[in-house]
Amino acid sequence: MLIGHISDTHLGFRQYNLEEREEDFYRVYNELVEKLIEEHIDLVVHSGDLFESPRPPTKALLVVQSSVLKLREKGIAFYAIPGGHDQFKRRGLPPHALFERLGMKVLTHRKPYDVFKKGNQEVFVAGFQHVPKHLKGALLALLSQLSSEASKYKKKVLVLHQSIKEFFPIDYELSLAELPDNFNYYALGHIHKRIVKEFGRGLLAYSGSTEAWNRKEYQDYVKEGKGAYIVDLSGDEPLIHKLDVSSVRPHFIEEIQVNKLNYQLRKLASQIKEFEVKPIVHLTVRGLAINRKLVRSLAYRILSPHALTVRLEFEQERLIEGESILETTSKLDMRELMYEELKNPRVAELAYRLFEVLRKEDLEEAKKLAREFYEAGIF
Amino acid sequence: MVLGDKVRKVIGYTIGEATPTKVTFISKEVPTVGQYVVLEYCDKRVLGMIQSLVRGSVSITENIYDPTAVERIRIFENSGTHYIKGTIKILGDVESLKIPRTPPPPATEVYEADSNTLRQIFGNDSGVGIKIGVLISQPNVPVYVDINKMVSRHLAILAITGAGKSNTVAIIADGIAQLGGAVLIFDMHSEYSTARFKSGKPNVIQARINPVNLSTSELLKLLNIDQSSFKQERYFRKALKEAKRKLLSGLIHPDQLLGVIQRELERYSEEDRYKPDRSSIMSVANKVEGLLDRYEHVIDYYAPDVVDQLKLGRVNVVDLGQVDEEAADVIVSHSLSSLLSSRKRYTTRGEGIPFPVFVVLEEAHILAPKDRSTLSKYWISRIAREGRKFGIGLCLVSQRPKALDPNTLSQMNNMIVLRLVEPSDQRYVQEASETLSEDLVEQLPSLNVGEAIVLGMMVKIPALVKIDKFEGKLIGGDLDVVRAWKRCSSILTKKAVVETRELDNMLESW
Repeated sequence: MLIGHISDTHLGFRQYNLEEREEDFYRVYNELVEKLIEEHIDLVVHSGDLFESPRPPTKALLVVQSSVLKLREKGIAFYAIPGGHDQFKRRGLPPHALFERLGMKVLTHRKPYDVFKKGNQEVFVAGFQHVPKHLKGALLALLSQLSSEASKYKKKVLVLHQSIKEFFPIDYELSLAELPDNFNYYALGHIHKRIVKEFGRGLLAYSGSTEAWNRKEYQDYVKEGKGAYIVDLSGDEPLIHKLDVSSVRPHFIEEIQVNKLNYQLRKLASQIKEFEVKPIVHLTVRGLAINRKLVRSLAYRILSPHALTVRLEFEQERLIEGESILETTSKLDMRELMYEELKNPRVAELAYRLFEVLRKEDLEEAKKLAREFYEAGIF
Repeated sequence: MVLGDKVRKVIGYTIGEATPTKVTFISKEVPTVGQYVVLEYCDKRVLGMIQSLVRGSVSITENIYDPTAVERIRIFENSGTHYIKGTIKILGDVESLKIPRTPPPPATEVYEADSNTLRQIFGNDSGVGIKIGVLISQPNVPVYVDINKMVSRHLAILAITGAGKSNTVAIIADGIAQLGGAVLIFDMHSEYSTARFKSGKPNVIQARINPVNLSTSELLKLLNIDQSSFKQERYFRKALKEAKRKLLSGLIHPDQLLGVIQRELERYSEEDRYKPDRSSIMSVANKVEGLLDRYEHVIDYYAPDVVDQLKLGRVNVVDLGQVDEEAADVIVSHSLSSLLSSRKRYTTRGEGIPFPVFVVLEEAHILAPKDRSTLSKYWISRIAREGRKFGIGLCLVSQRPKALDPNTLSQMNNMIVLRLVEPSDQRYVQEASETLSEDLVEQLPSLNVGEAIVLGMMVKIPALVKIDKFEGKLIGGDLDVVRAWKRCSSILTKKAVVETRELDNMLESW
């Protein structure tokens, strides 16, 4: 018996408010469904957050609709539970309700288990929607009910969308000790990282998100890959292997110093050009005194043609102990300093005038000055 | 006989040699220990208390070695050969409670003291008493204690756990509050903060540590910097001084105090001239950080002093249940010192808190131990000595009297001693108290729950008292564990049912 485990697909998520990002999430989902079919699995479990919100865009609904039909056509059962994102916080119907007649089996606290049969084999599939931590009493009661029901079957899978203290100590609803210990496979969702651990009578796994839901998840992707798990329940011990997706959009994460900005940006641009798909560029600019407006306009101009989007962050560096910003009683005469430094009075004059206009961030005037200077041929 | 008593019951006669304070008697009745009796001599009615009793038979002595002999004697003997012998402690004449200078003559009749006489003695004729219970031997006689004497001469409540200490404290505190007084309980086990008093809800004061108000020695205690770590103390004082300077000059807000101290310490650790002491400085910095971690939930830079939150006519409770012993010590010591100085200011200059306060210290053996020094111990002993003049009364409550500081305990002129089993505890209490006689001490192990020996100036004569049961709810009584388990599981089931209904609401069915 082969099970495909996917989770946290967040369909309909329009990251950075970009249509392309919404499409990215659909593309990765479709790729995974195709790959799962190729693996000849018997059933898929989706452990929550199928959609980004309880009111997904129609496109997201269509994507799921076609996947449900495709799986049904291949005779693959599809179990899903509503997650934290795709059910209403107060009251409402989850979008999953649309797909039950098409063959999706939605497990909720009202109907928290099903027995999947194929040939002479059977698997007890249990699960229910994400339960928030203020309803932990109900959560524990459901778990103990499922645990005793499960004891009637040989192979059993528990599908949950909950955070577990031991893996995510900052915010959790359950501790490992509170999970029933008689299941063979625990298909978990909610935590976006891939986690596999021996537990109960077999394995516990978070299959993680399928696209980088935020920048940090892209780093996880680089290390661990993203996608689904294929679990083989035929033997005494479950066997698990990764099923990776290839179409995750690249993120390009870089830090630069504010000095030599132009040069550095051009160097980055040439690196970005090499990507097949336009990457999402995350650029952190460090420096003592950053002219944010200037940096922003330069970075967008140089990098945008080759990137899907450029996300800028600034890090104001602090003076190191012992350093101080120069303080003098008399005002510095800039023109004098330029003449002193550059020797050639014409160049010095240009430098000074450029300095004056650039200080006001007047790029146009600076261009004009430079052109005049060049065309005058004084150089 | 005379003096208009209705029923006079002779229960025996004095025999043998008597002293002005003690006389032996032989009885035909079976009196009880602690019972009050009246003897008439020197033209006075003199009150006494039965302190010990023996009962025996002339024919069945200890020299019989044959059980069958006893069997035979039993058949022939009537109770006429039995005797009851006892000793009476003379307490004084009924009117003035002065002890006559002559002993009672032999064969003086011993009467049972009638309840009217006793009511007079234990009654509330001064109007400043509160009822704490009834006499064990005569339950129709209520016992009042004189609050003026109790507050000015302090009180110790001593007993093993479960003998009724908390109940006694609650009765007294409620009584004082009902009289319109002010009680302040340092509640080590969060027993009183949820209690329902007749005087109304207690005024619960949150236990908070305000580093800005603490003295340097209190801070050092919280930091665990003892006197032997003089280098650490030096650097801490230096950093504290700097931080306080900044605070006073308005450069920083109160809530930055500990942070500034930490940064100061870090600065020292980087300076070359302090290099040899670097490890000491780092250790202080660690301790400051540890303090912030440990007391995160009780540190409040804007918390008012306990003294400023006291309310008249209410039971004031400082809930120390959430803090460890060190923090409790600091909070108690700080509150006591500011209470004393506030009361002193009031008596001398009319500023400060205008009413006297009765302070109850639970687990007094932790706050004022015999063989260790704590911050509170100093202030407890000072209030024990000076409190009378400034209207601060102390009540020390302890289940381990022998671990209590003897100097402080001996200042507690009133005592309510409930059941005490351990002989060394009994001896210790006896040594500390002038009025607790050997015979009474012998009574201590045989007291039942809620029964006490009440001694000192707050009662005219020592009494064996059955303390009233406090009606409001108190936590701290022994838990019915089995019931608690059962209740808990039914609560969990109910909770699950309610919460599942909420899940039904969240996720509609389709």
